[in-house]
Amino acid sequence: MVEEPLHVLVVEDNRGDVRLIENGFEESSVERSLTVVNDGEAALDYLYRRNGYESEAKPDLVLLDLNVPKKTGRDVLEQIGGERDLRSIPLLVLSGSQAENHILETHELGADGYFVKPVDPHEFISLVGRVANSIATSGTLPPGEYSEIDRRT
Amino acid sequence: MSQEKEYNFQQNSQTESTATVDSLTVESGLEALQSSPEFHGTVEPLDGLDALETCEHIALFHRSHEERFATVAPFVRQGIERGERVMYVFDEFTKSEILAELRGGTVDVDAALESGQLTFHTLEETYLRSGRFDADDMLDVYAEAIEEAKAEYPALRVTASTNFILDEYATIEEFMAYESRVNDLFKGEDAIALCHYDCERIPPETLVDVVRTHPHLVYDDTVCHNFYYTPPEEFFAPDEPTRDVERMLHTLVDRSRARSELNEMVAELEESNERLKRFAYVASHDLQEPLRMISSYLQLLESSYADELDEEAQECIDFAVDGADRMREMVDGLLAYSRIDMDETEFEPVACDDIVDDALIDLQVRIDETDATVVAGALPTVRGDANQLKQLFSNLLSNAIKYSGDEPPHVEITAERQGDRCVFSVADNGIGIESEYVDQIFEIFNRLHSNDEFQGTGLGLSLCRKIVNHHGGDIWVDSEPGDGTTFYFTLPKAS
Repeated sequence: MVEEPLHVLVVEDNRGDVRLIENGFEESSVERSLTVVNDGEAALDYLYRRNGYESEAKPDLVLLDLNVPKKTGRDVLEQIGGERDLRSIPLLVLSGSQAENHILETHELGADGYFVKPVDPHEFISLVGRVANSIATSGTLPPGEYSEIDRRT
Repeated sequence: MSQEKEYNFQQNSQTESTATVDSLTVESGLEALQSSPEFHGTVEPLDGLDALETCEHIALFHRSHEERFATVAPFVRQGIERGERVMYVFDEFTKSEILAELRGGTVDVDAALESGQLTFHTLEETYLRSGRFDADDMLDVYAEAIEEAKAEYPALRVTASTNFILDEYATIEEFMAYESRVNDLFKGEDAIALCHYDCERIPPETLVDVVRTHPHLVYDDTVCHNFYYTPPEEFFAPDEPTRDVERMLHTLVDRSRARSELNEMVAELEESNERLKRFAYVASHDLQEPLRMISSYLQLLESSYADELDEEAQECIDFAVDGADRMREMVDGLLAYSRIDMDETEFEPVACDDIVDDALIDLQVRIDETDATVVAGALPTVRGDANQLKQLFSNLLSNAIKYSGDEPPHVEITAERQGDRCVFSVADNGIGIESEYVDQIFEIFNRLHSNDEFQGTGLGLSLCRKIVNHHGGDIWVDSEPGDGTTFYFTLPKAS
């Protein structure tokens, strides 16, 4: 449906997880191009198109790990929170943490979805595939852990 | 108990530089108080007080009958226990009244009386032998007693009422001079004395002298090593006022230093405790990710190369997966455990009926599988953290179902109000717990069963205890092997 390939920024320092994310996109058969950055600072540079990322295009989707070096995923969310332009990019938190406070905090900071990385690799791969398909077909993200909060409010 | 003994021993070995462990010193007298269940007070350690070590003369300042015998009874009993000669000089109470106070504990006071190890002496036989108080005469009495005791016993222990100083038998000056000399007599001998002074009756100016003539004092449930103590050779010396001032100032300085050191220590300990809590949380949190990697990629290896792996390789992977899975459960549990320390959520009214319903929904599959029945009475509303309380009920219920034995599990939850708290019970008809293991079950990672018998991490009950303690309550267990187990815990009632 989308002519241009889906442009995805993956903020993830764990190569094992990057690989599972790649596998997930492969499974979805959605046309995409992935850019992987390993820390929060590089993520911000990329999003603000600075420090060597000047020629990059605005991504269609950001997959954000919270536990990344230099600046955490939370810092990234906080920084881009005030930027209308950046806020419009669908942003999904993919985290190892199932802590309630992480979920609530990222929700407040404006992330669009939150998934706890599944331990079962097949579940992880199919989750990423589902996310890719959802973005490609409807432009929206499944809310994951936020569904409970959204229901309450 | 064993820990306590070890502690005492260590203290002795640190401070008893000259005396052998078996000889009677003031420390063993103080130790009797420290280790006595009746004496609830503080015993100041002797560290750095070498000058006072050899003076085995303790003054007990008492304001009530109870306070008096809370010190005297353990003092006498320890003497009997150690096989020492014990002399009791009594006045206002009768022998049988005193005996009634001394009985108890592990020693046979009556047998000691029978054998002559313990003797009672009236004032007329001792302090007032010659009709009025005579210091020289009395010192002779004790010198004789020490000599006699030496022949048959390892040491002499004296405890004496001193209320006669209120009467006209002796002048205060005479008696204080005498008290001061007693220190000389007892010095170097295996002898120790505990004199009783009634604070309510003895005038303050006399009490001041009592303080100055006794190297050790027991007052207000506290054993103090007495900085105001004045050695006999100084007590009547002309320059005594100067020394007295020095001693007073020394006490002030010492007390101020001790206080400030204590404050520093408390601050340091609080900080270190905070760091430890934080460490447990961060460690368990950060361990999750590499563990997930191990589990995930082992599973990928297994599924992607299933055809190429022989049976042995498959088995190796299975063991590795199993290990990683169990470790992940433990790390998850540890995280939940340390999170309780970090949690600063305000307590709110929590309806336990709803909490138990929630917990049961999560356990529904297990309940169906095991054909379990769970009966919950009407449960009260308590003050607490709903998430933690759900975890508490969930862990106890899940244990009750897990350790059920052959019969289908039957679990009953009840609660009753007790003042401002509620006592809950979760009772099952399961395999029960051997009494010797009951103390261990709340310890972290302690397990009574192998994983082949019952799967588990050894965290469930320690988490329960942590949650209950976090709510200011207690948790305990009552169990009969083969007959079931009942867990009890208390939570604060909602106001």
